[in-house]
Amino acid sequence: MAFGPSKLGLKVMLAAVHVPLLEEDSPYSPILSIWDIDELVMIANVPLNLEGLDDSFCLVDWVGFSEDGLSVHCGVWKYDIVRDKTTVEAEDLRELVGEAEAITLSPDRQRILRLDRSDSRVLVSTNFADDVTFNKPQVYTVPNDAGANLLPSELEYRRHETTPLYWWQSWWEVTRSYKFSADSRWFARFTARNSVVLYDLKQQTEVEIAQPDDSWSNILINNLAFDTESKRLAWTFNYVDHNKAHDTRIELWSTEKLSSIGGFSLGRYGWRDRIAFCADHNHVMTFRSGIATWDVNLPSKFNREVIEVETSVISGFGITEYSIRVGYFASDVYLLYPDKRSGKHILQAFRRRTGTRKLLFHSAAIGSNHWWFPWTSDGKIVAVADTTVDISSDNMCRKSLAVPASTITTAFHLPGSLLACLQQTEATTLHLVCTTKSEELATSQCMYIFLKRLII
Amino acid sequence: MYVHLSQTANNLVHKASKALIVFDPAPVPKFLLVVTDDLDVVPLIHVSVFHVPSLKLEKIFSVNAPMMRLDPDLNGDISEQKLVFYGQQKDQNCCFLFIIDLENERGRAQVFPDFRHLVYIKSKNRMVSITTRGWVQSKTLEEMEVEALNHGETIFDGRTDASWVLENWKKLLYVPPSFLPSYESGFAVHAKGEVAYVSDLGKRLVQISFKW
Repeated sequence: MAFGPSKLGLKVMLAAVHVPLLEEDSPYSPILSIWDIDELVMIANVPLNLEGLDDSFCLVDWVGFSEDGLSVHCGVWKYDIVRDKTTVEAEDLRELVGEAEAITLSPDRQRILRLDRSDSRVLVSTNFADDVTFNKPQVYTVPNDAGANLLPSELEYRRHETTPLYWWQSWWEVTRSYKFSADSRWFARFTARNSVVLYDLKQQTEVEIAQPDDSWSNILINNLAFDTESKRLAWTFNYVDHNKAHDTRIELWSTEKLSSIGGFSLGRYGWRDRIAFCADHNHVMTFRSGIATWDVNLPSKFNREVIEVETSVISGFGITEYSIRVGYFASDVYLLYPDKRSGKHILQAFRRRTGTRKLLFHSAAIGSNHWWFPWTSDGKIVAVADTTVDISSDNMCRKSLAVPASTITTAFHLPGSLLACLQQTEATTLHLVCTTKSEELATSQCMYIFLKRLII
Repeated sequence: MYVHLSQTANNLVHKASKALIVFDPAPVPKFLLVVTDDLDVVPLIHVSVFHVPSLKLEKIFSVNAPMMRLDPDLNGDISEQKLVFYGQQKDQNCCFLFIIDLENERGRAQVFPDFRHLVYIKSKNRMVSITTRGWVQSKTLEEMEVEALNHGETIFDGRTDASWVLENWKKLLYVPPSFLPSYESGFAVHAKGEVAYVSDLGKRLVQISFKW
């Protein structure tokens, strides 16, 4: 989609190229529609045909108005709004397309990317002087493209699914894996190794500008985007890091400085958000299951600052797990989360006046899932499972309590210095312990089936 | 209904799948509750009341429960002889709340679809929730009980035929999608009017103040 130029005396127009999906095996038959936004009326709705190229199609991944607002360009087509006439603006189109199943064009129509049924892709220029050949990257096909929070296992399965529409995978590949800049000088693509290669089509050079970290797995490319001035390239991808942390990142590259200008994490692993630059190029928009705008300078700046105060960063845990407990004790925020590397747990305090404090501790009772054990605090002590932590001073002191084996949950009564434990072995037994003397005060067995039978 | 310990038989002892212990909040507690779920055939929540410090079983009763698997993150508090018992089914973006009258041994349950988290603020006697769309909102327990009384049932499942449970929440603040809690984060609410969680953006702590 594209808006028309904002000029005095010109109507505000919106153009969109869309493909009707009327049947299960709908062909790729794009339609250009144009609306007069001032009057809210459609002023054009024209099919975009390729005469004489029955077996090939031109994928439209950009659309734009001419500067005078009188015509719309997309793919190989030009639509004259005044004359209501569509023309194909490529000479020797059949020769340019060659044996390709699909093509897509640079905005200046001087470059054509050919896609055929093999993995090979060829970027040719209209003078056939400097072809660029490469293999297509892995293309993940999620037929309905609707699932948020898809886990890697689901995506691994779905990547082998076949799409019901024969042209869908090519469209997906073109819109996700490649991008021409608006001035047609640059062409960026993801590679089969999940790196990013940038071609300077004017200087006829190519450089691999980003490589994935060796420790990453399950890398899923989302898409690439240039800003309208062709000064910045952004791309986004999902990955799982060496800590099994699932994340989505946006990276930015300056075509002026030919260097990285930062990047930041979004979380939201399964969202498969795509990105586009906003009119203000300091913001990118992510879109798919939701729409959000991101100040690209802010998180990059934030990242640099956070590195200096590393203790405030929450990292190093498997984020697919529901693993971070958050609570207010007095006026401070406390987090409890597992440390995957040590197998212990971290209690982290965020104190407004004195900063962050961390305590790494082992708990025999908690095991891998702390959610079975509610925590409590009186503002001086934090108690969870078999552990109490004195939080009254900057140096958090920990005390471990003996609880029975196979304890499934506990509760503390801090004013009364009491700990109750529910133990599950052959029977379910409740224990009451004095926390100051570490002395068991009483036990009792619990039973429920008997009650249920009476009720039923 | 009372069941005495003398009736114990080993083959009748149930293994609780999820359990929560709640102490009498008095400075010197006189009892504690053991709350367990039992989703076989007829979904029930069992509440056992034990004397403290003897742990003598004083009474045990059950209340009907909606058909839903509970996450182990169970929460409970006692307020005016009522147990406020709540939790979530995180993978379904769904929260539940029981308000159980300990004296009359009756309880009502509400299920809230599209709720990410639910927190009880005792000093305000309010539930605070954050929805999947980012609204942080609250409702008093009194309001909830009045609404439940008006509908006359014991289980109100907003996923099916009781969508009214999602109505009449007071909106406190809006969190844009980029700044929603990450999937793995809990959600904390301070009575002074502040929420805290670990956000999607960079996995960092977010604190937002609001007016009640």
